[in-house]
Amino acid sequence: MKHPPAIKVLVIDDDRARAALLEQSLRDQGYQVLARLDNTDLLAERVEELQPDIIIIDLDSPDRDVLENMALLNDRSPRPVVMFAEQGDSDTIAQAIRSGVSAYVVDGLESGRIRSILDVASARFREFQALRRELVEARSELADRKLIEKAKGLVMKRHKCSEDEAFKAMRRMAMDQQKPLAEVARSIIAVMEII
Amino acid sequence: MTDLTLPDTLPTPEKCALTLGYVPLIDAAPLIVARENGYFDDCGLDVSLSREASWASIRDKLQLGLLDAAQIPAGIPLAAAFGIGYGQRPLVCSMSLGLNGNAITVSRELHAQLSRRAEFSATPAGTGAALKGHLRDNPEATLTVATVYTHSMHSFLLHYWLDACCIDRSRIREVVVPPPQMVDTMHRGLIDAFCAGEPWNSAARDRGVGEVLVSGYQIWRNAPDKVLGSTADWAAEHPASLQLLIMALLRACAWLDDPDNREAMLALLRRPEYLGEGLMQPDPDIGRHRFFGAAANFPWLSQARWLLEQIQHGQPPRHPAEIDALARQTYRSDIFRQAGAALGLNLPLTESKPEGVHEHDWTVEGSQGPLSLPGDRLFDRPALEPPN
Repeated sequence: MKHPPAIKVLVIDDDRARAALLEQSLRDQGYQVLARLDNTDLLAERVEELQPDIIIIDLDSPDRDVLENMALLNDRSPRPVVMFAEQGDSDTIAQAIRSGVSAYVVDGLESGRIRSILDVASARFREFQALRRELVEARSELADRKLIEKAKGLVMKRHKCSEDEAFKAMRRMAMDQQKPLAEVARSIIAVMEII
Repeated sequence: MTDLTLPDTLPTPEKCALTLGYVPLIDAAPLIVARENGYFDDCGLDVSLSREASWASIRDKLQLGLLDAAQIPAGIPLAAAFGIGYGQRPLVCSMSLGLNGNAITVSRELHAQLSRRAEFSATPAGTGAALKGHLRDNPEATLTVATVYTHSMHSFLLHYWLDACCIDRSRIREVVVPPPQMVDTMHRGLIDAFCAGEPWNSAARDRGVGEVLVSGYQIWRNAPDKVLGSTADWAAEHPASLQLLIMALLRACAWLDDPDNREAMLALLRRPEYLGEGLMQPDPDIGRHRFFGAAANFPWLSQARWLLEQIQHGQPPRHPAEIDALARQTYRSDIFRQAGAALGLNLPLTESKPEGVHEHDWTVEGSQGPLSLPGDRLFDRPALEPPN
């Protein structure tokens, strides 16, 4: 049995790591990824040259207005995906846009295929967002822990007490003031540094 | 400065916490000033501003309800009314955010070539004649000209100027380049000219990359540009919120209209969360922004019709009655009138005015007596004599 030709996807995303993740997922599902572009020179020319069936682009990319122009002026060009919102598939599009994905497709590309590509892209974008959030949280957790250690050291030095006693005193303060431990640590450091 | 006092009783907004979209340009100033000067707060609105990278993003987010309202080129809601562009829900314009702001900048090399020509003079006709001569003498040359969006005043003014100067548009290759990349793209020799809003023309000149050839103001004096857009559904479901939004924006526009506030406006726009330091020191003579007055804020149906004619260029012509109906359903002067009346503004008695024919200030009948409007001449149109 002959396989239908793979759908050609162009990915435009300034975030290289995210684009790489998406590219891998698309390849795994049998799509042909033509290129991954970030900082694009005259994008319109690249699109004409590569002739993708679908372009996946970061919703917040300034290059979207370039693609809009191509779609409005040229029949062959990829057409904005919002087009098929009118064909009753607005949920997929709404979900994609909320995940930060927009897409441009050539006329005639089967809507089931478009949906599956959009679903992959939305999922990868959301996953990446979650990863980034975790990273930020992990970083701030580490920073908090450092603050607490520093405050504990200052309390031990000033009150000549054990580490355990210093920590208990700080935790009591946090409970009394109904504040997170890290914030109590921050104010201890501020006060101690004045003294 | 026109002091606009809020009425004693304000309507209760259906929704207080609003998100407004904008693209970092000088003509986003009314939104930024209304927020920073507390005019939204005075109206009981809690407004967050969302900086967007493209007009496409603003349109999609309005369609999906991720934005309540936005600064938007007048052409986008009108193109949507034609069924061009994308999205299912009709958009409406309930206020114009100001006049002017654009210019056509050419690379320094092209400027040097054009300004050496005998036909050249610093007018739209003179620069057009020089460009026409340049193309005639260089029959192989094609110029690459960038605009920022298909259905925006930049494209319409550029086309109007080229056509009025009888320049063969097939010699011009038009591309869209995002405004923040404009100066760099010209610097690398990828485009010969661009038509964009301020501060990008000033930026090209300050960086020694390009020279302003002709300003939008010279092509169409006091031309419309950005408007306040929302979906028709949103406007219908939040009439009081929209009234309050317009009142707050009108107060910001009145503040912006005072030349003494220009430096304070630039200081606000230069903040990193808005346009940032890249704004530098834009030349007020290039942008010629006018933010306030009946000409600047009233959504004139005559302007909507002019824009619709530009948008439908190259498409099967439509009946004038159809154009008029689309203009009326998109340009909601009725919504603006209500907010303007609440602030005690002198409002025009008609929805349309003759466009492009007034050399100087002229007068229309207003709700509170004669209402002065600034000149609105299109450079190639014969001017009407002012009535005696």
